[in-house]
Amino acid sequence: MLNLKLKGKKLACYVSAFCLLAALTSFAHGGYILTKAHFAQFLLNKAWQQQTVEDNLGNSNKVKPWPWADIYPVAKLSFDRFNITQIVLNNDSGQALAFGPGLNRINITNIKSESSSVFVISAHNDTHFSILSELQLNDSVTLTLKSGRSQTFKVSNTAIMDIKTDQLVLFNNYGYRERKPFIKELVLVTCYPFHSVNDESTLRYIVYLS
Amino acid sequence: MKDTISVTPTQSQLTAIITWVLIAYLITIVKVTAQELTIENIPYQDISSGSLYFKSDEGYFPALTQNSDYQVSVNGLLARVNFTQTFKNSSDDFLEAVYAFPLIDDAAVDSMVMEIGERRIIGKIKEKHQAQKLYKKAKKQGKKVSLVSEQRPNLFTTKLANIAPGETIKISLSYLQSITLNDETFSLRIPLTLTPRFIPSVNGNNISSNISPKSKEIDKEKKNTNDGVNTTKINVHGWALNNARVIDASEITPFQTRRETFNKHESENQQQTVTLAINLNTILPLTDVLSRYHRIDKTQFNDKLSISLSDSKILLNQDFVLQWKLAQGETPKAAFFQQSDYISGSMPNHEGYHYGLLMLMPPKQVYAQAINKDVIYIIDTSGSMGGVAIRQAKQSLITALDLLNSHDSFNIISFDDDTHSLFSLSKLANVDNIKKAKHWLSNLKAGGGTNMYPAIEQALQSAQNENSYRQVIFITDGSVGNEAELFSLIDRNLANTRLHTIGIGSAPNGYFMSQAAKIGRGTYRYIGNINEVKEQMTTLFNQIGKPLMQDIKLTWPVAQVETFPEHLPDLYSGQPLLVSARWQKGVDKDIKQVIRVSGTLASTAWQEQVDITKEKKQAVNGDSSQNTSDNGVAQWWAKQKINHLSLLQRRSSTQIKTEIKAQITQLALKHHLVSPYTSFIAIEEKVSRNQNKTLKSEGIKNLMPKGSTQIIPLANTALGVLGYFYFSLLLIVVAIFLRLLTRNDFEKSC
Repeated sequence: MLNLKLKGKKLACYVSAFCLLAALTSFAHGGYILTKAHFAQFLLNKAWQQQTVEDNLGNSNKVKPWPWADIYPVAKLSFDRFNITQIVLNNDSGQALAFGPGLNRINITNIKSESSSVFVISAHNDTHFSILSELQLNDSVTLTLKSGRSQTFKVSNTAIMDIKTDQLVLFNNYGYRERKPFIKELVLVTCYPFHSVNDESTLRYIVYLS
Repeated sequence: MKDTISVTPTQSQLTAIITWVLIAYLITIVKVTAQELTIENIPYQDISSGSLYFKSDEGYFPALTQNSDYQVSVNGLLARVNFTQTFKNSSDDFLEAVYAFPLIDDAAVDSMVMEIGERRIIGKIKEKHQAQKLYKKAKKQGKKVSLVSEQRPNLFTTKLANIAPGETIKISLSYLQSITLNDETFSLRIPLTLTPRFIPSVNGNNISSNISPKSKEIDKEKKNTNDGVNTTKINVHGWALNNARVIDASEITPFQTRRETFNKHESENQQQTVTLAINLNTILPLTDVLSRYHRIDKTQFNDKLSISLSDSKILLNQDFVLQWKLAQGETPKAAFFQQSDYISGSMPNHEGYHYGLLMLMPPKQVYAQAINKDVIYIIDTSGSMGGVAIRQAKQSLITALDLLNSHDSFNIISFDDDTHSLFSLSKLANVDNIKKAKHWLSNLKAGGGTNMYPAIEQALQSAQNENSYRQVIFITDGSVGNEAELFSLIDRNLANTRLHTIGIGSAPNGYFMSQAAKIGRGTYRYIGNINEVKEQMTTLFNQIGKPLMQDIKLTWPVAQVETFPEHLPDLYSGQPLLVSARWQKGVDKDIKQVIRVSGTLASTAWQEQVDITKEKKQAVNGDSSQNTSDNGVAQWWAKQKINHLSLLQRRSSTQIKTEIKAQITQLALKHHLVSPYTSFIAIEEKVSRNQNKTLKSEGIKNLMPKGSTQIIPLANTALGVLGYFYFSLLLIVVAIFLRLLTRNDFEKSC
């Protein structure tokens, strides 16, 4: 009897140690994602500034935030009320979104010429774009492009959309004569609901700014 | 783990308290951070795009619902459709409805009535710009007002302002459409939804430098006329923004929804329902009456065959197509319908006209030598072709390859954002090359934009073999917004080539299909189902493999006849000739003579005489006698003239363009037709909305075409980081729990 109890106690001891270890790993993993997302922004910010310098010198090489990076910054987003700035990356693949908000595919082809009048930017709802849940109507957001052109938008509408049944239809607008058009609309997209434990959702929270 | 917990019934109070506190803490965390979960019973898929929804006991309902009712009456080769759109506002606010709807590409809309309860307000035809102004003004004043305008020949919009809370308003449109006759099969097509159109970007690398100044002028001119047209701010609904190549993009890309069967008791799209009834009036008995994609009920009533849908509410995700044949198997060789100018006497000083519509069937080719062809296939692999459509397109191409003769040559061009071709030059259709082509086809996938321009350009400008007869077969859903630009491209580069279009998918852009084929002097057909591929491709190859009826000439017994089409096209085998004509009222009340038709078929002459009086009598015997005064022949003629003028306008210089615009406007106003420059407007004089009450705008969503998989790519943007934290927290709790448990046991045993 005592022997059995001792055995059970030992087992419980191991299990609890294992649980603690697993808890730590899981916590570390979650933490790693958040830290990565947070610190990548510092490096990206540095790269962004360096890129501006390079561009001013007339060099065409792309500055990478770290040597093995396959991404590069294309724009800067500032949430004015919260005093937060984020560097927007050139694509919205899963790898890129781990480090910062990414530009939607529809914008990629014309980001070089900066000829798009609608910008669609997405980011994860538990890292960079968790802030979207706090954005209110008429909050202002500033978008700065590589050329130094910057424009401030105000939140005009928010909506929740299910990508299974509905679709976002946005097309490039380009003034006939103007080479670099006025950006008419900025659309920020993230998954919904916020603070979800789910990593796959068909709902999207969409903030329209104009 | 479960076992460890369950075998320890001795729990000290301390452990229990600590555990409960921890669990309670956990629950509060979950509750606070995931408060959205508490309202999860709202159907989010319905509240996108700013649609208004209301809560009731049974669930959520859209604020604005719309019902479409089609009453079709078929008479010969024309069908009169009474199309009623019913808008119901179940909210507590005044609403403005914005509804973009598809119509068949040759629809001649000639009447509009707004019905508010018992009151009927007859819509007036007005110059488009003026109608827009009136609409805006009335909307602001709070009067009930509706505006019906044409965005494309097959895409119209209804705007209806100031629908009072709880009110139902009906907009009744009446239009004429033609019945297609091909190989003795008559078919009536009613489009029920739209395939989203691709709006190319202006600075696209693909647009060639030789985009003619003409088409730019069109854009410019349209821009001028359309300035300030956007009366409703609809970007929030997800509509596209205008650009210079497609200046009216925001008007032609309505928000669309896709609904899978979540709930079988409800209609598929809560906002939209449709009912349909067709009357076939024919004196000749019919056979093989069938609906291609929907289930129908048939009832015979004297000379009428009534057809209605079996399901009271059907999905609006596929075009309705009804087909029938004449019982004898022999289609009548000719038919003639006549109408005199309106007798209403509204224009006393105006000289009257007679109008006629002539249908003629060329003789069947008994024997003909096959011609050597150089066939260039263009296949659309853009995103809008995703799903079923691309499979249909591929199957069509494979079938088409097998139909080639060994003396024919062929090539395949595929396009999305970029253009790819199978061979650099056309190659002989031998076994090896066809095998290669099939392998190449199997690797094609749908995705990307619809940049047709370079593909068509490449097909038409490629080097041509002297001895063979070049045919371009274009397989697409035509979901583009820059139609005009493409038409002028085909027009300029056609030379001796023939361009045939094959519409794929549940809701192809019929206007593009028919117009491109018309300009390309070819044929067009639709394939809405994979089972039709073989049948349709075989008839196409039968047609293009046989010589054409050429040099067709008509001799009318009266002077000064204005006929459309102005230049009679060459006829493919099994295709009828349709001519609309107008002549002045002369001394004779009716023409009592014959129309002579001549042509050459495979270098032998052909002649035919049509006795008009006899044909007319035949028509009188039928049911159509009661409404000969309003059989639509006159409106049809006017519509054909407008089409002709629009075509002319595309080719001419700026000054002539404005002249033609004036002509079209005048003609459309006279015949009460909706045209690119005229719209219907109905205004109720009574003010129904108080100035201090707000007006909300609602778009009606069209259902996505069946089988389409097109989606705007949105990244997955959730990591579920919180999940990791919850998981680790849970494990920590378990660890602490176990730890406490073992300690107590230890103390006890000591």
